[in-house]
Amino acid sequence: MLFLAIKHLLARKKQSLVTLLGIFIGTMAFIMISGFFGAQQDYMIDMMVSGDAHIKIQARERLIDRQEMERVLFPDYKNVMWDRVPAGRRSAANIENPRGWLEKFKTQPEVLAATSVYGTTGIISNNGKNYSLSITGSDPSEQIKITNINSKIVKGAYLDLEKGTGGIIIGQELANDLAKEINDIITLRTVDGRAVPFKIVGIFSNGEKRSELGSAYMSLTDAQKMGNAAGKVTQISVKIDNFRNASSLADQWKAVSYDSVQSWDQLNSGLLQMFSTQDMTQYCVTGVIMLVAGFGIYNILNMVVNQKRKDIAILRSMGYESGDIIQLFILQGLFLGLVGGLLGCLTSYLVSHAIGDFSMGGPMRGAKLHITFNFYTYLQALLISNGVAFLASYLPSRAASKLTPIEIIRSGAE
Amino acid sequence: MAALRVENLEKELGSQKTKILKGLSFSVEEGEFVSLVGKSGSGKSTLLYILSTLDWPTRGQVLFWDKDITKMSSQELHSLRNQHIGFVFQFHYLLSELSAMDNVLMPARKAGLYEQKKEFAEHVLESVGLKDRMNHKPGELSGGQCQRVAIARSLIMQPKFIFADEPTGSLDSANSAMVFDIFQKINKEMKTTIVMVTHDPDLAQATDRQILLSDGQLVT
Repeated sequence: MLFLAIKHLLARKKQSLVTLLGIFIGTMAFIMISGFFGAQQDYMIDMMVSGDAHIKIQARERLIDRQEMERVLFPDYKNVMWDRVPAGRRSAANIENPRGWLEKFKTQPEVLAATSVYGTTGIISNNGKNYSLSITGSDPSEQIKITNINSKIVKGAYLDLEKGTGGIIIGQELANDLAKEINDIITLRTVDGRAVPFKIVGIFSNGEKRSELGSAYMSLTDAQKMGNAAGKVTQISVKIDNFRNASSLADQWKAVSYDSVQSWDQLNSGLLQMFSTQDMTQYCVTGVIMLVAGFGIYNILNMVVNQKRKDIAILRSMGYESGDIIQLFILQGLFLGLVGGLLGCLTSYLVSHAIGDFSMGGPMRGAKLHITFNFYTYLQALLISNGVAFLASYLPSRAASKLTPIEIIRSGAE
Repeated sequence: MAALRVENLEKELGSQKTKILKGLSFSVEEGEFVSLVGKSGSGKSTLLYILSTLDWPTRGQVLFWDKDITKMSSQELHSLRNQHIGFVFQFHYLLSELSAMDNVLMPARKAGLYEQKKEFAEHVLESVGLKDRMNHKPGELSGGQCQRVAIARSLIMQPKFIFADEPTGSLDSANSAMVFDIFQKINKEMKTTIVMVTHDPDLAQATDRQILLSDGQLVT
């Protein structure tokens, strides 16, 4: 029946072309949107797993407990009346036994690197403008194993933080704003008002304006001095061998500790949720396009079935069975689905290559993305286009197969 | 043994179960050229469609070489239509996308004999006077030429039977005569059994036997 199916398609070139175009656009939209979102998601996930720790251990923040206060302050009283009931957060949370964690990690083969981190804030003033810096103090040699910060250094070297005290690494955007270069001195004001001078030993650029303006790195000791918190640790950053196992490992560690243990995906669950929304949007947009294309196939084949009633009658009288009639119309739908799908795949591939690297703009203006090539996306697109074509052609085909020659002849089909 | 035998054939149509055919019994011998004649509404076309397995009797039997079509499986019926029966309708019912040659070869395609039947298709088209038109599509042929292509199509599988429903009904007298001559030639040279519905008394007279129907019953 393929011979006759192709003859039917060629006999109505315009209609076939329009339907083909619908399938082609649907397939291309699916692949391009998938590729675009995929590139964005890959970049974001790369930022999460390469630009940050796989697992973060932080002190659990505790709230002031009225009963605990009463037990400590008024142990001899049964009923205590308060003018204002004690509430709020306790003072800055620190990990009580960071050394214990680091010792534990030495025995865990899946842990590739771990460092104690002290996070604090510093302010730089320049020509009347204040820049608030989120400072990460850690062991530099471990920090470069945990994150890809070393590859983002554009001037100086991250490990120069180990050469004595008072070194700082700032972002390119901040360096530009302050008109500072490597080896220049900047003065940071601590939260308690002290002014501490630092020498710029490195400048990083990761493509994110906010990060380049508001983040800085230094050694753990320097950060602790800045925060006036000698020996204190606010976080332990861990890198493991397979970032996909991070959440299960974090759950295991959480079960045996009072500290808060969270994996990269748990920390970014909101963002990952957004990816699901993006995927939904992608399926909806493609779904609508494919639905329209499917209706196109359905309408055209329905019309063809009506136009070809006499052909069906004569084919049946020649011994063609109902299965042959189904085949005749399904082959037409599948042919459109396959050719439209393949053309969509090919064009998407060529267009993706032609576009090459692109920038997201906005805060990620420095990030160069490339439309993702994923074999399964192409396969999925082909399956969807052919699935839609099959479904859209099945109903008219089935209706056609049910027509008996005598019904058509009696109804006087011309 | 009769090639085709009809016994107590009845056909009812519609929700009112209007009797179109009322207990017909007759037989057709192998190689016979029979015409079915009668007034409009006498049931001759309905009878032809039942004989040619396109329609189903309400009661009674239609036997091809003593095999009842009402007891045949769907597969056997399709095979019977494809291998042993040729149809010619009042309208040619050619597939407009295909050339005369491809139209003629459609039954052979179904039987998987496309390549083997190509030469014979040329011969058949030549015998109906269309050798130089075999690559033309129906839209490029006259009504008479199309009907001759339809006859060639009915012959491609060298069937034992040809059923024709007013094959000359839509043609002028010259073309009618030409088509009828072809039927006579087929009947004589190929020994094909032909059952033809016609309104033309002259054509009916030229066949071996006339079966006259009136109000669903046999008159002769």
